[in-house]
Amino acid sequence: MAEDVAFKHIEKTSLIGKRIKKPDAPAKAIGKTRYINDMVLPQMLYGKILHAGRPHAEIISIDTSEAEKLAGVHLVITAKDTPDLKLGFVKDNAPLKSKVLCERDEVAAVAAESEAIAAAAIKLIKVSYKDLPGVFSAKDGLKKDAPQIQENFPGNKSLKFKFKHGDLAEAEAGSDIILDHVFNVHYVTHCCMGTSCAIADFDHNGKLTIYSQTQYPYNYKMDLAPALGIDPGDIRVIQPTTGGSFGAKLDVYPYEPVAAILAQKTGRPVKVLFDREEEFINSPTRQPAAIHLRTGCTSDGILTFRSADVLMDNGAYTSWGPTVPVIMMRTVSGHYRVPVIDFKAQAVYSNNAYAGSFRGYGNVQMTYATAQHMDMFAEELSEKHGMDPIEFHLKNAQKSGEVTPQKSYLRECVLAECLTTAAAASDYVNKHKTYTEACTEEGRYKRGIGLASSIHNAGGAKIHKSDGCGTILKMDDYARVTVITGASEIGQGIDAVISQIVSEELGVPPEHVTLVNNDSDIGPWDVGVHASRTTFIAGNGAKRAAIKAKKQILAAASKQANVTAEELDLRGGYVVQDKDGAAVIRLDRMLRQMHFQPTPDVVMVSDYYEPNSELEGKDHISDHSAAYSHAVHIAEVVVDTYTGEVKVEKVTMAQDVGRVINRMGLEAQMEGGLAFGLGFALSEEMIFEEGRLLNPSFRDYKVPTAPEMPEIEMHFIESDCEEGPYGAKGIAELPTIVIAPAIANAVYNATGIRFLNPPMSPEKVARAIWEKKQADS
Amino acid sequence: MTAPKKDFDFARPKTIEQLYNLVQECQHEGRQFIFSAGGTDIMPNLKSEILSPDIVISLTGLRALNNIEKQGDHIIIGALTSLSELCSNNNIQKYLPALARAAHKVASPQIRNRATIGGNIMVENRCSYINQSPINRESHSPCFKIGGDVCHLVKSAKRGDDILCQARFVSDTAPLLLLQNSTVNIIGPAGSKEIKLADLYLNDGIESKSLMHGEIITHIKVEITENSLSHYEKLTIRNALDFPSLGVAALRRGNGDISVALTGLNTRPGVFHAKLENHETSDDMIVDICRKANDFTVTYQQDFFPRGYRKNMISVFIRRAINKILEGAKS
Ligand SMILES: Cc1cc2nc3c(=O)[nH]c(=O)nc-3n(C[C@H](O)[C@H](O)[C@H](O)COP(=O)(O)OP(=O)(O)OC[C@H]3O[C@@H](n4cnc5c(N)ncnc54)[C@H](O)[C@@H]3O)c2cc1C
Ligand code: SF4
Repeated sequence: MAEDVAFKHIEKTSLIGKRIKKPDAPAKAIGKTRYINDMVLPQMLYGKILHAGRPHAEIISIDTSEAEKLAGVHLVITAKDTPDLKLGFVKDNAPLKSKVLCERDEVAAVAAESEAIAAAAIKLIKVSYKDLPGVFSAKDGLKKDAPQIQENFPGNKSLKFKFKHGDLAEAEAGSDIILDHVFNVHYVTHCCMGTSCAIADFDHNGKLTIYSQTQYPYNYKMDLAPALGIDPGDIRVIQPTTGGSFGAKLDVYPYEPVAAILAQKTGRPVKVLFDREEEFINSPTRQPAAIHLRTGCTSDGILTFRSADVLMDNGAYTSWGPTVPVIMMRTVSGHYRVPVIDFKAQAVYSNNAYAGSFRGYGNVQMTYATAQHMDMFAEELSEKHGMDPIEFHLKNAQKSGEVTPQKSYLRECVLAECLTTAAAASDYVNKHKTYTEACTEEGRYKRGIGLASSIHNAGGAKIHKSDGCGTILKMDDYARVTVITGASEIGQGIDAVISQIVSEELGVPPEHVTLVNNDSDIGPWDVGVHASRTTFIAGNGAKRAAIKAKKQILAAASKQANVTAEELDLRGGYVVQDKDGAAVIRLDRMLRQMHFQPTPDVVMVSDYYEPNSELEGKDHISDHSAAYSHAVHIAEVVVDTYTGEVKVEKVTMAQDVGRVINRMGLEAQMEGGLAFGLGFALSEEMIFEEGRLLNPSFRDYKVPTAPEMPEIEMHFIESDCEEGPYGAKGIAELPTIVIAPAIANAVYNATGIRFLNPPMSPEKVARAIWEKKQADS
Repeated sequence: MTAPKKDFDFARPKTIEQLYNLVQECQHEGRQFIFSAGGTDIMPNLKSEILSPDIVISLTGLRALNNIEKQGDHIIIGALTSLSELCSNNNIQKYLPALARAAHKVASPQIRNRATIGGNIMVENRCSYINQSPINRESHSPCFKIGGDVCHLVKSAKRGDDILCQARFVSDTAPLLLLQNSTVNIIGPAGSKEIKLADLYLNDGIESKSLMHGEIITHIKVEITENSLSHYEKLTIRNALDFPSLGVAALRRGNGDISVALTGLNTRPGVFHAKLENHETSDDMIVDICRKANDFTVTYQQDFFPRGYRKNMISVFIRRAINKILEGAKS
């Protein structure tokens, strides 16, 4: 026995559930991180785009001659230099436009020696427009005499979705209470700290390297290539540190092919970087929607049906925004047990801004409606039949093993525990009763408490043929691990989670695990960061790869120690006896011995993890995620009835997380998600007038600041998901989804007023209170 | 808006003498200059091309102007004192706590570290049209404030009107300083003088301050009012990083008289007084002061709160500020 293992015993410990520091956090905190925005390549030119700044117009002529003459300008391009209609979900968008369909439309672009020259050149381009009458709402877009926006879409009808289950007429007849409301969910935007940026660089063989903030590097190649007329195989995507994404970079947007075309034609690297105002006007929004929701219930408190008719303003082009009904309908059919479902959604082209994907993906919008209907039922049943509000929720909460009408299989379902935990921790029932009684009393400040819940996919969402992720893992002679994963890091924390998982399996410290995941020429395929999927899918992949590596090491060690591999384990940087932790050999030594022998045995393994979910089909009947989870938020608010200010004092959340992996990362996701939902509920709103954004700045677009954050009490319910890594489920979207209706329900509790149209800004609340007073007296 | 579009020179004189040599030089050569203290107000205005000077002259080299001192029944505040310093200074906390509160309500910690009290009382008036980027402004025709011939807030405004530009006054600290009968010390090429702070403010959003070009404020002299209590309340959507959609400072004297000053509404701050002896109850006095404030105020759509809402909130915030004082007096 070698000296360094004599009498050494290492106990089995686990890192799962512990707080692991995000490896890139210190550099970000002290400003050392180099974001894409900071990057400069040798010989690089600066690209700048001329946006139309008007909502609907014909382009009569473009005169670029003055711009071209400006010293330092290398190239000016317009639509005639670029391929037509090659971008977007239904290929209705182009890098540069020959007709203006919305304010952001890219009309021309410049490549110049400096940002300042590019900006000056843009001002010298003379465009003559003929303005056309516009369409500024989905409703107007459907009118018979509405101007047609997109050539190939008569009647302005864009995407359409439908799902039906059960007999609606019969369910309506069997309902004692039917609620019927229209909820208008507004425009908000992501507000990434790092504005949109792309740097394109062609080599002499015609291969494009694009430095991008994309959150889906592999399919990105497929979407970008047609806009450039090159083969997707000739694109290499490098992802420098991203300053936030949240769904905003799940598609290719015109500035990216524009950068590439400028680079292709000038033979120099070209960087296009938005300033803050460009970012507000020209990046995707959350999909706005008018949701006509009808829900039925018996006097015993059993839900009978849900019907939703959703009208969406598509904007001028189709990115991910109008596809959100795919998730909206899962909420309609899966948020509590509802036997009969009727879902319809129609997107209508307009001359407004267009939406992309955004944390919550349709569920923020739909839960704002369904969770308020649940609260309305609870109120009515408690008033008329004395039913306890939590009992009403529990009666309709699904249990493990239930299947929704769309065939979402809720293997481990702990909605009931989430409800009872949050309700008990916040003393919901008592407070709710007290505030209800106080609601009609005199007094300026009103307190309210509100509960909301929701369901969301928590094991990916199979909307592509594969929802998988590849992992390559290697160990060097010093027991340092390199994990090459397809999963991108856009700030959400997969870096910490993967090092934690690999460290758990291989018994090395997490700091000894290096992640390589920002180069599409190196990494194996992954579908991208979306659908709360990365810890679940890439975490599973990393775990499986690590287990393969472990097997290989233990097999080699078993020969040496003369025991079976099953009797050995890896702990604390050693190979040990599993039963008593007695050290057998230091891990790095073991690896060197394996390496330096006549038949070298080097640890280099790979894995492709494909979740056992089913592809989302045209009929929308499939178990499209490998897991589903629930969250409950209870918000406590104080409403100043004189000013209409709503202060959220405390939020108690209970969420099914499957199993806590990195507690610190999880808490951060909860807080960050909540901040998004808080802004959406109370203050954030893109204000449009005839297709033009009136508040494109952080001064006028009101994201919440630190003082607005409430006290947060978190309860993580561990349902131990069979398919998830160590039992974990995806967690990141639910906190954004659930908070807004919880606040709305709390404001109702305080004031007796329902707010169907967020945001609940002070003047709206004050006006509603005033109107109610008038009506009451 | 990543950088100001026009290049400018920058200078930081160390003494008043150097400053005025430089000012004279500029005047002689016809170079446009502006002064900068913390720069937190001028920087966004440079970036959005509302200002486009040839040279920015920083006052931060004049170190002597960065102090707070109690002299008898006055507090003297150097114009270059940062708002952060103002918030934490012992004398301010002891004698003028509401001023510390008002300063604390400005912007964010980072901005308060740089922003000065001199810059705050001199902060440029704002409106929802002018404080946009050039691109956004260009889609309208230029307004009076930038040499054009319209006002986008008050469409009926025309040259020759009493008030051409309705850009509103937004300083958070001025209302309280006004209630404390403050005066400001000014020096300029022609020598030094002391004026009432109230006389610094003019009626029009274009020329909103009475300071002559080239003059600077060196100190603010604030009266300590014996036995008085004061408070500041501010209407915003958020608790940080928002200019006041309405700001109310209230002061109650030992004899029960009340004064109120407003910001965020008109082109200049408004100050109103009510004497207890003229009213039957103290509530009558508050009603009277609210009426005066309402009569004085003309709201326009200068920010994203509807004008009617802001007007309605005047009485609410005056009462709130006074109630806070009364609660404080009790405890
Ligand atoms: C995001 C943001 C939020 C803000 N929020 C608020 C707010 O809530 N409330 C508020 O009141 N302000 C706010 N401001 C404006 C500004 O930050 C403050 O008013 C600040 O106090 C200005 O001080 P400064 O020293 O930075 O001024 P500067 O920008 O240096 O100067 C402002 C003006 O005053 C003049 N000036 C400065 N010092 C002197 C002097 N000694 N003598 C003569 N003239 C002088 C300058 O020439 C200039 O015209 C905000 C600014 C930003 C960017
Ligand atoms: S109020 Fe003044 S700044 Fe605003 S649009 Fe009118 S003239 Fe211009």
